[in-house]
Amino acid sequence: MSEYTGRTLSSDVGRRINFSSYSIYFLAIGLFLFLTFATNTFFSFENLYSISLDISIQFYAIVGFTLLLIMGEIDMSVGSVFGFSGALAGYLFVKSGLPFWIAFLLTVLLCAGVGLINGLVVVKFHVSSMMVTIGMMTVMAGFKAVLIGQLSSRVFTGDFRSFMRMKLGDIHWTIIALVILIVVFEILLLRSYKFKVFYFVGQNSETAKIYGIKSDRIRMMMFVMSAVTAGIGGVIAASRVAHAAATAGVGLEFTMITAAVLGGASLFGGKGSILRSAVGLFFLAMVTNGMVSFSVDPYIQQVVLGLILIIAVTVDIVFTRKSRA
Amino acid sequence: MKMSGLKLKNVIQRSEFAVIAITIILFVVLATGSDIFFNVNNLNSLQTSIAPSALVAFGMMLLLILGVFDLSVGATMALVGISVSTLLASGVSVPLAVLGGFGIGVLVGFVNGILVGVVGINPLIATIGIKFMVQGLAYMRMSNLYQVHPDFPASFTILGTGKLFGIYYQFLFMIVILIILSIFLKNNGIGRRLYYIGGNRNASRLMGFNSKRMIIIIYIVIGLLAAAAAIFSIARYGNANRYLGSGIEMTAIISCVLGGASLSGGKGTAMGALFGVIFMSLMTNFFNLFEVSSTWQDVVVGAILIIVVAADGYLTLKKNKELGKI
Repeated sequence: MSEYTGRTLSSDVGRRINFSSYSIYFLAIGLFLFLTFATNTFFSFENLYSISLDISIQFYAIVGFTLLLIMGEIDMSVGSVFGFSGALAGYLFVKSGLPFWIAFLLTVLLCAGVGLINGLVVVKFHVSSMMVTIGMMTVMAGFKAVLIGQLSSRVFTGDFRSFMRMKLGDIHWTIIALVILIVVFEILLLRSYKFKVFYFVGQNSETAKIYGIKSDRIRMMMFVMSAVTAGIGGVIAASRVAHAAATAGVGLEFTMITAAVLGGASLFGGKGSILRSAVGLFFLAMVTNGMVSFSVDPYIQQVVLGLILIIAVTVDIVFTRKSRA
Repeated sequence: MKMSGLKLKNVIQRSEFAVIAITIILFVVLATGSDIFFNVNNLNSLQTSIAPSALVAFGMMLLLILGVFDLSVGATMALVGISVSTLLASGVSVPLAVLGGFGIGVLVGFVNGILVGVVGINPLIATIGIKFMVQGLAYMRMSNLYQVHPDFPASFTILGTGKLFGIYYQFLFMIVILIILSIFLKNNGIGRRLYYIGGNRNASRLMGFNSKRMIIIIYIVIGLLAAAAAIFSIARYGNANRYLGSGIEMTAIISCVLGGASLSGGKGTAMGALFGVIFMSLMTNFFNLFEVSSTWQDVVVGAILIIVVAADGYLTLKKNKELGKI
């Protein structure tokens, strides 16, 4: 299949509309319009704001996750690290009595270490990133459970609690940061050579090496990036609920995969963008939101999410095949 | 490919050697360190935890040899368990209910197989999508079921609780499947094909092997094995719930990789899968019997998995360097 994925940067970009690159915008706009006209509750400032706030927290984790997908690697430990970092920051804050910012910094550093281990094992031993990160997922889920056991549902107060609640003007800082990060990454990935090489590495890391790109180092850095962004997201999420929840981050890796793939990323690498992954998250949030307002059985929501994922990928594959013929 | 005699070097280099060795060490530690390890209750619970997990792991092993995998298998178990108990509660006869359970397994496997084999979706995405859908269906059926808490007929319960010379039927069934699969993978032409297809899909296509059909068939096989595991489990515990099979897909993949499989395909044996499962079950047993908080278990299992994967990668790399491939 990997021969299909090398299309985005090939010479005919611009001459041909790449279906998988734009489909998420059409899907998102279509659903947005549908929900606006079909329900009374969807198109209100409060509802849209709360959707944006939800996304702005998961968004941090998807930044690194998408960059790693562009490399053609995957990080299954993203959910565990997300849950672990919230619990660890809470532990350092509550039990060790560290100031919040120090606890936050230490947590992010430790997550970077976790990502470094993933990266080192995958890159140095040439093994499947999925397998290694499933191992890491299990390890971090274990540590998370240990920490949560120690914390025994202590509430995080003070700086920790107010971290996520800080506002610039009337808007939560996480939403503002989301917009800024999307713009910055979109510009960098499209314009900056240093970031454009990510796609080359994802398409063929060995060829990229021949052209003098430090493939291995870039791939390793992206594993670190994935763990760091998941760690930041985890602390923000823990700050929001103000305690270490056992459910934090559970299944997040599947949300991330669904959103990123809807946003045109491929597990074979060389494709994807932060903006489109974020729109993918927004789309998923709209689906959930819409189904709640139509009072759809929550279990059918799962069926629908699974169906969306499979249809999106099937359509993508069918279109990619057609455009090759 | 062929083993030249039983030289020590060959034995050590076999991929399942590591897991068999650490399983035996763990067994000895448990046998000598704990008074209640050989207690009948403990052995019973070990048998009934190993048998269903091993059935699922066998299916996963076949998929991994082909270079694919199935994350929907736990959800399939939940749906089969809940459906079979619903059927039994509504008065359907035992053989028909069991048949219905297998039918669901076949159906889920077939859909997975089509998506992965024919449409060409990455198994990770395809089977996660199916996992969501099957799980949603299972929970929906569950919410209909929980008012009636049916007592299973005795002819059904015997499937889970019946024993022959102290060994559960389900354990014997698992052993039979193990023997069949081992012979199939080692001595059967079609079985050998799994390794060729997993080792190099393109080359095997040029040789005229139909990998699409093979992928569909093996996904159906894992569906059937998951259904069997679900039926044994609900028959043993006397009820079905939504947690049946939850997370078993990860445990099965971990067991298989510990037992010598690789996600890149072309490697693995049924015996390796079984020892991977036994290791995981003994591990749980270890944490219970020595009263270590079970939260540490994940940490240990995950770390072992990373070490095994890294060591496997290191050895492959070294071998390829010696062969001059790099």
